[in-house]
Order: sequence, then C-alpha cells, then structure tokens
Amino acid sequence: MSQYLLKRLGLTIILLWLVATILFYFVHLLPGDPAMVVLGGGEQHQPTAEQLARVREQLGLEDPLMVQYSRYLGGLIRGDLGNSFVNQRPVTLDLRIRLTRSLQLIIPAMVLASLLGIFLGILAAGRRGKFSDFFFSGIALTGFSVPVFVSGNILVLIFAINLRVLPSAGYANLFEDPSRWLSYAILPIVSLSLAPLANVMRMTRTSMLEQFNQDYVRTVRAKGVSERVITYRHVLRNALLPVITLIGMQTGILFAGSVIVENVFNWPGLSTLLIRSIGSRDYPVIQGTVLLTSFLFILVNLVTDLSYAFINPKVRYK
Amino acid sequence: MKRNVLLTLTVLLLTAALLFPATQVFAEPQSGGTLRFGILRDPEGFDPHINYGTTSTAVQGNIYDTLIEYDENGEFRGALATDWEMEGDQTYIFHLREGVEFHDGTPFTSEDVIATLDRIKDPETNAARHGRIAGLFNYEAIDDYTVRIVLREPDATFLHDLASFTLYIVSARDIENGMNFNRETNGTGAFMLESWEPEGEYVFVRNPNYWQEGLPYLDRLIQIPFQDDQTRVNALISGEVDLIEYVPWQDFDYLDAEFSLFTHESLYNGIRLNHNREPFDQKEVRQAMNYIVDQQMALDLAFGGHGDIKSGPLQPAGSLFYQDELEGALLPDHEKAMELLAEAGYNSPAEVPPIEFTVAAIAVHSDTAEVVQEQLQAFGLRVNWRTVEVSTMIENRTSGAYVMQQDGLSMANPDPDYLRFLFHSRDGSNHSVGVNFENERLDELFEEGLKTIDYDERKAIYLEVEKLLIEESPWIFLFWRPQAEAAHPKVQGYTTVPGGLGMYNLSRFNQIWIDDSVQ
Repeated sequence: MSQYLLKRLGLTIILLWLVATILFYFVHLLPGDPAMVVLGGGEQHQPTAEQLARVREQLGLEDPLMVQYSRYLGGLIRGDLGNSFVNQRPVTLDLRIRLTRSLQLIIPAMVLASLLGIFLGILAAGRRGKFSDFFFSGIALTGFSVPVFVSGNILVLIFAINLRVLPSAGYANLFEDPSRWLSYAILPIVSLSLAPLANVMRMTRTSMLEQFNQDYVRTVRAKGVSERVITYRHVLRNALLPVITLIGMQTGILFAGSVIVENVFNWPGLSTLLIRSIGSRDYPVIQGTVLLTSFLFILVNLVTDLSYAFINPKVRYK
Repeated sequence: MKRNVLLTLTVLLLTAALLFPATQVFAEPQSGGTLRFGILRDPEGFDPHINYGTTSTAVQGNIYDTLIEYDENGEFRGALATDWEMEGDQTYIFHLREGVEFHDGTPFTSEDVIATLDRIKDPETNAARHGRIAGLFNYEAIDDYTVRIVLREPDATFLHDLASFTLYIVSARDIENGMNFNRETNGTGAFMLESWEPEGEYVFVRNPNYWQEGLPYLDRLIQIPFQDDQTRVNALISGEVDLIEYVPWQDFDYLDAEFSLFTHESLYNGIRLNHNREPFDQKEVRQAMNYIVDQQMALDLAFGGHGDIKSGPLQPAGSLFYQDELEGALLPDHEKAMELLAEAGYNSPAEVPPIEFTVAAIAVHSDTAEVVQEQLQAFGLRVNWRTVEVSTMIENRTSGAYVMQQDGLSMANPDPDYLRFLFHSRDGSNHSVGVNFENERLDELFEEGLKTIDYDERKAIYLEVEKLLIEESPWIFLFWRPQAEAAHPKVQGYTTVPGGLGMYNLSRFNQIWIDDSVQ
C-alpha cells in the first residue's frame, strides 16, 4: 500500500511539472502584451513605447524565456507563485481566498448531488419501468442536458426577480455572516449540483440494475432475505463502486467547470479569477490558477482510487 | 352652504393630492442611506495615477479630488483649486482651496500638489500622465495656497490634463512615508474606503470633513463587481443593487421604462483602412468605402438604434468642438461610390480585389463589423472575415498588420486634439505610426490647434482637420456607440457629463441621494 502511494505521489509530481511547463510556454504564446494591460492600455488609452519597455523590464519579461522559466520553476519549488502583474498581490494569497470561496459551492453541491443522486438512483432502480422511474429519469435527463446558463438564469428569474425570496447574485463571507452567505449560495449550489446529480443518479440506477441480475442476488433471494436487505446490504454496496469513481471525477470537473455558475451568480471564485487573468494577460495568476486546478483534479482522483480499498475489501493495492 | 364649501375644499384637496403626490422633482435632497453600485469588474488597485480603466474611476474619483474638474456642461470648474489665471500663453497660476483636509486629517497645501506632480514625473510610478507632466517646463509653490505651472509651449489641452482621472492629488506626507498607493488610500474626496475584498464588496463611508458643505448625502457607498452583463442587470431588477454601469443596449428600453436610464456617447466605432495595402492604396477607394456604408443602418442593427451618428466624423454631438457644418457629410451615396471606384480604375465592384476584414471577437466590435461586411458585399465587394483576439487587434494598431480593421476608441477628454494621436504623422501613435500615414497639412493644423488658445480660432482649425480627414478617408467613420448607467428611481442627483466625458459620471457620487419615498 505505501509503495503504491509513493508511486502515485511521484507520478503526481511529474504530472504537475509537465502541466507547469506546458502552461508556462502556452501562456507566453498568448498574443498580447501584459505591460499594455499594466499601463491601462486598450480601447481608450495608448501608453508610449518607453513606458511599455520599462514595465516589461520591471515584470522580467525582457529576460530570455529559459531564464524566466527557471525563475518560475525555482519559485514553484519554494511554493512561491509570484506576484500578479496587475495588482502586485502574491498569487498564493488570491488563490487561497478564491479556493475557499469556490469550495463553498463545490463541496455542498457535490454532497447534495451525491446523496440525492444515490437516493433517487436506488428509488428508480427499485421501480424499474414504473412511473416514478420514468419521472426521476426524466428529471435527471433534463438536469443533465440543460446548460447551466439556462437553468441558472431560470432560477434567478423565479426566486430573485419574481418571488424576491433570494438575492439574484453576489457573495457574502461564510465565516462572518453565515445566514447571508446561505441566501447567496443556495441558488449557485443548486445549479452546480444539477449535472452531477443527474450523472450520479443514472450511474446508480444502471449499476444497481446490473447487480440485481447477478447470481449472488438470486442466491440471497432464494435464502429468503427481504428485498430491503438485499437492496441496501448487498446490491448497493457492490453497485456503489462505479458511482464513487464518477463522484470523484465529477468533483474534479467542478473545479474547472464551475466557471459558468460563478459567472451567472457573480460568485468570485477560482474560475472568475482565471477568466479575468487571461483577459488581462496576468501570467503568474493564469499559471497559478491552472496549476492549482490541475493539482486538485489529480488529488481528487488519487483520493477516489484510494477510497476503493475501504469500500471493497477485494481491492488491495500492491 | 357650509356643507358645500367643505365638499369643494375636500375635492380640491384630493385633486391636489392626486396631482402632486410628493413629487420627486421638488423633493429636497435627503442625507443618509446606502447606495449599492454594480460595477463592471474588479477595480484591481487604488493608485490614483494609474489608469486601470474606467471602472476604477468610480473608486479613485470618489476618494480623491483633482485641482479642477468638469461641470455638468463639460466645462471646467474649481475643485481643490478655487480658481486659476494665465500669465501669457504658457504660465498658469492656481489658487488652492483653504481648509481642506485629507482623510487622515492632514491639511491640504501647495506642497501636496508639487509632491503629486513629482510622483507622476517619476518614471517608477508608471503614471498614465507621466509624459505630460515630465514635459512641463517648471512647476513650483509660490506660497501655501498658490501654485505656478509653466509649460514649454502654449498648450490648449493642458487644463484637461489637470481635470483628468489620473491626476488626483495625493498627500506629500504619504509619498514621503512610502505609502503603498495601490493598496491604501488617503484622499480629500467625499468618501473614504472602509473595507474591501478582491472581487467582493468595496465599502466606502461618508467623509465627515469633506470640503463641500453638507455633502455627500450618502452615508455609505458599496461597489460590487459583476462581470456578466445579464447578471448585473438582474442584480438591479431584483433590488440587489441600486445602480449599475455598462448597461447592455438590449436592456435600454426596458430599463428606461421601469428604472432611470442615463445614456451617453463616449466611445467611437470606426474601421481602419491600411493605405499601404491594395485596394486602399488609392484614395478614391477609401472615399468610396465611406459612401457605401450606411452608418444609420449599422447603428440600428448593431445597437438597436441607440447612439449617435450625426457626428461628422469624429466629435460627438454636444461636445464643444462639434461641427454642425459637417452633419450628414457621410451619408451613403452609392452612385458617388461607383464613380469613385471608376476613377480608381475599377469598372465594377467585382473587379476590386478581395478585402481582408480584421475583427476582434467582442460583440461591440463584431456586431458592427457584421453589418458593414453585409453592406459591402451587397454593393458587390468581396470581403473576407478574419477574427482575432482583442490584444492582437490592439497590437495591430501600432504594427499596421491589417488591411481593414474594425476598431473602437474613446477620447481622454473632450478636446479634438485627441485626433493628433491618431492622424499626426509622428504623434499618431494610435494610427499613423502603424501604417506611416502622413498628410503635411494635417500635421500643420494639429500643431497649430494645440498652440491656439482662442476657442473660435481653434474651432475653425478643427473644422479643416475634419474636412481633410473626410477627404483622406483613413478610416470608415461610423458612429458614437451608446453607453448607459441605470438606477432604481429612488436614486436622485445622478448627473452625466456631455461631450464624450461619460467616464466622469461615476466619479461624482457626492451629489447622489436616496429618495426614501420612492419604492
């Protein structure tokens, strides 16, 4: 087990180095001059060539690319992601703030999606072919196929503009004012959970149905065990394995995929930071955000793989 | 009889009550209350000498003051300077306001003005107005409340620099103490920054020692960034905020009916023509382009008809140098366009080589460009679309790597001298330098216009400039595109500055008050 863990951790580091390197060169390939953004250049203002050169010098962009790369990698090893070009704040500081905010949506959304998804999946599997199966499957299919910018805006229209029971968009600090936080967070959490919920539900249903057809179920049934015990003690346990993989993957996806929800509900999390930093060619922030997202994605996958061992004693890593 | 009198009185009173229901127009400004303001994006930083884009002016402009500012007519009025006079053509004397204090209680004196100019002059600051201030001949404090500024040459645009949103006065003591202006604030303005979170709420409180007696009315001002247009509009409609900027034009009509809408024209849409590339190497073809394109139709289709095309070609209606004479000078005229093409040696539009049209992938540009492309194709020209990133579009301006490029621009101030930075052969960093555009007469006029102080003389000079520009047609001149802020009807005292100065609307929240009687 520990050997396996070491191997996986080694792989993680290599993966991160690869991501960091590709990222570094891709970011520098982006058209556009960060110095222009720092000086407020754009549709409305044209800085002089000397000013641009001076800022490029200050930002270290005049050095050869290899020098910049080694400086960046050296910083990474020390845990220093550099300072934002635009507001000069350390990138790690902003990432910490943003990650906390994003997690405030992602964790509740995933918990909601998992619990409700598994529950509805069991329900649908138990009543295969009946009305409630079609009903829940239908809802799942809708949740799965309606894009978030539609469902999110519909939720805003109903709850914020027509009923006026919830604010339309915004953010409040969870630790300072939890009730206000909840009023802001509830709609984005629901929107964010829709797609994974539908996925989890479908996967649970399929996986359960597959298990119901297995020989051991017939054996247990022949022994006269009640349907309830069969469902929850035998079938569910075996059926959950692929569901957990799916939940892990969906959580990883949410780290990068909460972008539209954060945009629609004006939630200032990681994705909004990424979009803004790309727009302003803020290299250190782009690199930091993508690196953190990749790291979380890899981490979630690792945790998912390891959790198999606890659920299914048959799986023991060597 | 008595009963009749009573009845009449009652009816009269009721009628009066119905006719004048606590009319807003007559209401006295009320003090107190909070204004929640939805802004376009995170202000990023607070340095009052750096240009972070218009959104930041709402932060910088309410914390800090300039020496002079624009009034509701777009003309200068005193702010931290009460008044000023000129000695000759190049020397300005400013008399400073006495009894003004910075937020930390330090009194404001001429020392602060000098230290501010020094800070902008220091290249390390990366100040937006660095070039302008570094180019001054001299500036000095005569006494605690008088400052003399001497220019190298007469410059009719100098006062605009002083009124601009990157020339806010900071305290000499803060500079000395090495304050981080990007993260800390200390101005003389109506509001003090109380707390902020990146991309969260920026909370301002009333400055109790503000130099304008009785102002500001608001107790608190909270600015919240909403990047998404629809989200920002939703926030206003649902009551989450009371005021928003950058209203998408699709929502103009609805918000105008149900809320208060403040429209203005501060941004110009036009199309650059590269006169080094075929077919625009021939002046007649460039001229023909201006007669093929129907500006009104482009504005109708791309911006729902909101905005202004009357301008001819480059001054918004309502600005000081708007030239009535040129109104309608560029109306579409396909016959004339045909003649011009024939003069250039093309007997039909189909003979003109295909034109590559570079367009940045932002709606305010591409919507316009699509209409123009349609119009050119309907005329028989071949136009190939090339989508680029915004930053590539901006780089193209100085590299000239385009044949025809959709673009947009704004004036930093209402002075027509901004055209010099487009079309002067050497100063034209925004156009001429990229494509080596040169017209000797234009250069002369620009230089003369800059030095001339008399308004009528200047207006005549810029009339000739605009006529020459129509003649040369270095651009397809289109229209001033619409921009707007929208507010809940309870928000009173919001003023817009005319003549392309819309960006200054947001830096004057000292006059805004909340009418509690409006729900």
